[in-house]
Amino acid sequence: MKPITNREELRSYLWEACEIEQQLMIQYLFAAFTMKKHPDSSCSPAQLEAVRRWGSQVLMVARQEMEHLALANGILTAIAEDPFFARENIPLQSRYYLGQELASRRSPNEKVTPCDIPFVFERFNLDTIGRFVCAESPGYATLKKAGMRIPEWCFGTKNHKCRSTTLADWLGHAGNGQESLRVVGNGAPQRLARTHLQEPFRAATPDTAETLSKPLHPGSIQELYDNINQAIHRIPNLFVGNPNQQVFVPVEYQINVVPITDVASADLAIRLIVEEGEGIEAPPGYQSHFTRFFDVRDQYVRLLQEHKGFDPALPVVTNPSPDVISKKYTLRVFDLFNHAYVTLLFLLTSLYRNFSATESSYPFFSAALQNAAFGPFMTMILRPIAEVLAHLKVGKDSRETAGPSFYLSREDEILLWPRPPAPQTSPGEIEPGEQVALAKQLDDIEFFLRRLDYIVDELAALSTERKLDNHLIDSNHKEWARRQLAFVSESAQAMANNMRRIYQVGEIQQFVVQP
Amino acid sequence: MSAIDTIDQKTFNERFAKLLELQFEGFFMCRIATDPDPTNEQLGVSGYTMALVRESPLDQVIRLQADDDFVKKNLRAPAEQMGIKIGVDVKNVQYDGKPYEPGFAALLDAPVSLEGKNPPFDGPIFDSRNNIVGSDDNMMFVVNPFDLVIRGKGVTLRAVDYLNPAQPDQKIWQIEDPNTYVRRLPSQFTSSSTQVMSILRVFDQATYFNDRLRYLRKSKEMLEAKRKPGKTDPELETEIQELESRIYQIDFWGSRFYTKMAFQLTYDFRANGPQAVQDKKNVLRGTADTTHPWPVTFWFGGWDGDLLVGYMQGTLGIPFLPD
Repeated sequence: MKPITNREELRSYLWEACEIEQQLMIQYLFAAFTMKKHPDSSCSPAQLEAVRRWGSQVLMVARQEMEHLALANGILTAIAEDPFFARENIPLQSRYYLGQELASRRSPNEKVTPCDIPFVFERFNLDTIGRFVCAESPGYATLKKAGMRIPEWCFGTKNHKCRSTTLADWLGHAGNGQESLRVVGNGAPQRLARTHLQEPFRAATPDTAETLSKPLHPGSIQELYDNINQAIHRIPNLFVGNPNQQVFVPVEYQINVVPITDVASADLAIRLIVEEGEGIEAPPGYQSHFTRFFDVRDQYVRLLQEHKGFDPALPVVTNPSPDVISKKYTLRVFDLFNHAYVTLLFLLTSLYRNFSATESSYPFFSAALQNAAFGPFMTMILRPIAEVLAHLKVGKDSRETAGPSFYLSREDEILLWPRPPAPQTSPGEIEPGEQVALAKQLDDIEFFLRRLDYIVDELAALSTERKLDNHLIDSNHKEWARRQLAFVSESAQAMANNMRRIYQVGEIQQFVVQP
Repeated sequence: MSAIDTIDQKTFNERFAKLLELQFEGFFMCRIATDPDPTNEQLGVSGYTMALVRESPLDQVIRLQADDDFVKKNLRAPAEQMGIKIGVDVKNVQYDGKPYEPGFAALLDAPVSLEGKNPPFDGPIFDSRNNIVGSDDNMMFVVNPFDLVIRGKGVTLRAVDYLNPAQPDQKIWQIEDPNTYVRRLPSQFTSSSTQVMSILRVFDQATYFNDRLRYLRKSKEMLEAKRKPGKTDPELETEIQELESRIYQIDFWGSRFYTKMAFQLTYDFRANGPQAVQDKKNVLRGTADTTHPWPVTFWFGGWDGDLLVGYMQGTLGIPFLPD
């Protein structure tokens, strides 16, 4: 990986980090939302207890990916850059998890090749947790040097080849459309993730004088953060952002979003990210994401050996999309989830752009956004909708259910994209002025209230569906699903009330303990 | 027309200045879901509380009383060995600060209940919706609804409070201004209460939960010793896994368990709803004023997030005129 030489390059590397962290997080969330909550014929009461504990682990790691995303955005804010909550949709093949790319860097002298780790939405199963282990694994050489257990399925050898290099094979079927595209190899279209890293070079032909660019080889996640950290220490006068604009979340629920204002705090944030994920340089016994997932997989294997039919997850389709959901009701819930998820990304983007720790008079915009963005939106709106979705059939006679796709439309991404001066990699070919005008929508409280209103109304309507049992994989869950949707609608209503009120008069002091 | 209706306001205020005070205390149960689980979560996955697979689902309900079947199913060991008996009962009755014998006879050990419903929940809850209508971070929870009932020998007392007296049916999530119900939020929050710890006789929460871990691990070992080679006993395996989940939660959340043990949330308000006294035989030997608010103060504390049990102590004041 090429050393970072200036702030613009650093910004691009941080965008890479933000994008990866969000993509990992939503894959973990997807898997967690599919996990069973009731015993059944393929999950005994004893097994359900284990499944619950795994769910706790996967959700905890997802929370820490949110923390990593927040910290990377904290560094962007600290260097006076816009936050980055944009993201490419899944499925895709991240460049950071492309085995052939990693092989030459990660383990040049080893007789193993890191396997491709595709980004897919897959219900919780052995492959999924195995994939998560690989995604959080240190490199082979690091594992060996540290005497750590080696997840053999993450590495190919002469006798034990990597499973595949194609998304289609990971998905277990021939695939169609983009899912079947090869991610490496010649002659086939590639569904390879974008990169924000560009290397300037001169065109080969002498009559072309202009400077072109080609994507850089990104290296590993570890290298990405190492490179960012080195740049932070090397490039002078980086931390020119307003310290009062640093979003801060008190340490809670294993999340630690610290203000980043200088080299030392940025260094701390990066060390935290790397330690939590791969466990690099962590003390003995430290529970990194890698070791947590590894332990869960071990337990899963043991349960499977005892009971071959064990299945800890609902029959949720892989990579749900409107193409595979024919039931209109399910599609409405599916669309509503995406609407709600994008609303959260808009909230976060606006919060990081507009945060003020010293807000003391009307309008209390950042306080209004923060109240909704951290905590209740994920736990009281997104998760309950996703859990209902995982019980809804994709088709009339289907035995498969839907799940969230966390889909961002092009229009959504334009709104999320850092404001001009527009970078080369802007997702839409729109006029710079037009993007400025669009971006301003996120500075208006009414934009968020309208989106919340839609969520309230749509949930209220969905909860009164007469034939809800027809849409569920198990009609016994009818009342649960109905109450769930109604409850979320009520919570969204109260959240909208809070947002409006805080915008007008500030924090809800009534909820603050007086010393 | 009652005697009260015939007296003028001045006399009325004078006569009912003094209070009949019912002091109550005891252990309560609350199968509450905790952040970052949604507050209507029934199993418990990401929060530190959970319903074990053979127990009733988490339902958030504050139970000052619980019937034997419910206790048998849901009160975890070693609660019984620790002397924990679910039930908040009247322990003292005073009139104007002095013992009141008729009240003592009718109400000593009378069960105190929180009744009413808060749909979709089947009883009163600590309402927060994860920082939406209260604050988890600051333990600012409304007890919702508030319908306190004391059933003694021949007498029933009921104190009701509305979040919004102007619209008694309004739900908390419909109330735009928390000022409307701020009086129902805790008036005091003590994070390390010596009063609570004295009552529970626990002075080191870390040791308390380390003891619990040792107990759970030992219990698990004993169950594992019952396994027979080549034979699976589903009930035994479930019991082992339930213990494993309890061990996991205490290990995983650590300080969240320890710190909450010493919490004390004090509530203090005048119950504004329609108060009621059913005392056909006049066992209380006097008249209660049901036309004015009744002062009530109580605290919840000593929360054991593993047993889902806590302690409550309080006083209900009833403007009262002895015969």
